[in-house]
Amino acid sequence: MNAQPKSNGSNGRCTCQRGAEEALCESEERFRSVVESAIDAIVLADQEGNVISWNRAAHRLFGYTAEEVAGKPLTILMPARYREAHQRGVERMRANGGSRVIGKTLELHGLKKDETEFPLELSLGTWKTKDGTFYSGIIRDITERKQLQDRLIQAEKLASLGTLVSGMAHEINNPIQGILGMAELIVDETDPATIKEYTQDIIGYSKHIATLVHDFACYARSNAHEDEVEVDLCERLAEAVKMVRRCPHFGAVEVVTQFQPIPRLRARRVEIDQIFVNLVTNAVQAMDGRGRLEVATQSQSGTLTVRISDTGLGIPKELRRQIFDPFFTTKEPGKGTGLGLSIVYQIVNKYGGTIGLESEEGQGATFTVQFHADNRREETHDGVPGPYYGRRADGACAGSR
Amino acid sequence: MECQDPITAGGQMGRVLVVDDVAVVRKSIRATLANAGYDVVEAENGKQAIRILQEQERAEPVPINAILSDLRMPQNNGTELVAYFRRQYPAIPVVVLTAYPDVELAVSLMRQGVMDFLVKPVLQNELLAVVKKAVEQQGRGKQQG
Repeated sequence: MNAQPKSNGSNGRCTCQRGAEEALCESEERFRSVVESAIDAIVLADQEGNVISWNRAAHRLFGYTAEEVAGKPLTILMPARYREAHQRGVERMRANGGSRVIGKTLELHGLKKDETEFPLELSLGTWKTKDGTFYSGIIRDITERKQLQDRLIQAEKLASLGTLVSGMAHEINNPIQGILGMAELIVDETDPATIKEYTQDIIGYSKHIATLVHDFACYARSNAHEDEVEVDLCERLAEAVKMVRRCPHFGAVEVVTQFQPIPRLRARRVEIDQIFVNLVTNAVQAMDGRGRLEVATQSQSGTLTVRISDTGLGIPKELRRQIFDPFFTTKEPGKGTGLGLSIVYQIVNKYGGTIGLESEEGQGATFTVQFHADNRREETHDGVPGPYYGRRADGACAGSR
Repeated sequence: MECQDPITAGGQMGRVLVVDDVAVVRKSIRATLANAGYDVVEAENGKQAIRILQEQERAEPVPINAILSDLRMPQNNGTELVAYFRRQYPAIPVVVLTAYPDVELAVSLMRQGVMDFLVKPVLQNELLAVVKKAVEQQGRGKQQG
C-alpha cells in the first residue's frame, strides 16, 4: 500500500508518538492493516483518476506492484473499450460531483499487467477532503464464479434440451410413420392418382420435419458467439410456446395469446428464448397437463411487457422470495435443477429488465417481464458500460420479490 | 387403391380400431391395413374411441377384433385409456403404437395386458404381423369362450 498519500516513514509505517497525532497514527495503522490483509483488491484514486493506494491483493490480482502503479491512471487496469467512457465519467464527477455508480456493485472486466482480461466485481466509493474528491474501489476476481455460472447454465440448457428432445420424438416420429407407411404403400401401388397423393403426403411431411429440425437446431445452437440482433418478442414467445407444446407434460393445456405489436428488443435471441421457454415450461408444469396458459405482450411508454400466466397451483407466499434463487426447487429430487427461474432472472437483469410475480396459492401465477424498448448497449454517463455489461446491483425486481 | 369407409367396408381379415391424433398416421395405417384385407375404424382421441366401442358393443358379436392405440394424445392420458380398454373390453387385444421408445412404460403396459408395444416408425410388415397376431388371439379367445 505504498502509494498511500499520508504515510510517514520510508516503510509506510507510522512513527508518530503522542496525543491526537498518535491517535491518528493508530487509526491509520489499523486501516492499513485491514487493507493490506484484505482478500479483495483495494485501490484508491485521486480526482484525476490516478492511483494513490494499492494493496497486496491488487498486486496479486493485476500483477503490478504498488510502485509500478503509483500515480498511474486507472485506465491501465481496464480494457481499451472502457477507457474513454471511464474518462468521461471521471470528468463529469469532477464537474458536478454526481454519479450513478458510486455505492453500487458492478460486473466489469479488468486488464492485468500481462494484458489478459478477467471478469471482476467492483464496488465503488468516494470521499471528499479539502484536496478534492477521492475514489475507492474494492475489486474481486469473479473468474471462477463466472466459469461455474456458465457451466451451470449449460447444464440447465442441456436438461431443458432433454425435455424438448422427448417432446420432439412425438413431433418427428409421427410424420415419419406417415412417410414410411406411404412409401411402403407406393412400392406396390399401381394407381397413378394414389401414388401422386401419397407422394405429396411424403413431401409435405418431410418439409414439416425439416422445419421442426431447423427450429430445434436454432434452440440448441451454442449461444457462446451469437451476436445481438433485433429480437421480435412476440415471435420468440410464440416459438417458446410451440417448443414447450412438444413436451410430454404439456398435456391438454389451453393456450391463449394476446400479442400486441411491440418494438423489437436488442438481445441475443437464444437468451430471450431461454427466458420464455423456462417461464412457459414452469407455467405448464404448474398446471400438470390441465389448465389455461395465457401469454401476452404489450408496449407502453417505452416499456415492453411480456406476461405469462397459468391457472396452476400458484406459489405460496413464503416461497415467493426464493423462487429466483439458484437451486431452489419445489420439485421432487432429481426432477428439477432449481436453476430455470434463476437463469431467467439473470438474463432479464442482463438486459436491464425486471421480472415480477403475482400469485395466489391455488389460483395460478403470473410472471411479468419488462424491458426498456431502447436497451441498446451504451456507455452510461458514469464511465462504465450500461446494463449490457453491468448487473443491476439493486437487483430490481417488481412484485413481491 | 380405394379407401372405402372402413366401418362399412367388408374386410376379410377382421376389424381394427386405430386411435391416433395424427391424421397422417391414421391415413397410412388405414391404407396399409385395408390393403391387407382389414376393416379400419378410426378415432382421433380416446373419447371418440370409447364412443365407437360403446356403439359397436351393441352389435352382436362385438365387431372390433383389435385396438391399435397411440399413447399421447390431446385431452387424453393414453395410459389410462389403454387401462380402460383392458378393463372394459378384455376380449379385445390392444397394441400400443407410440412415438416414445420408453422401455419402462412398455413393460408396465404389457403387465396390464397390452399385447404388444410398437414404436413409430414401424415397418409395414411388422405392423401387419402384430395386427394379424392380435386378431388371431381375439379369435382364439372367442372360440375358447
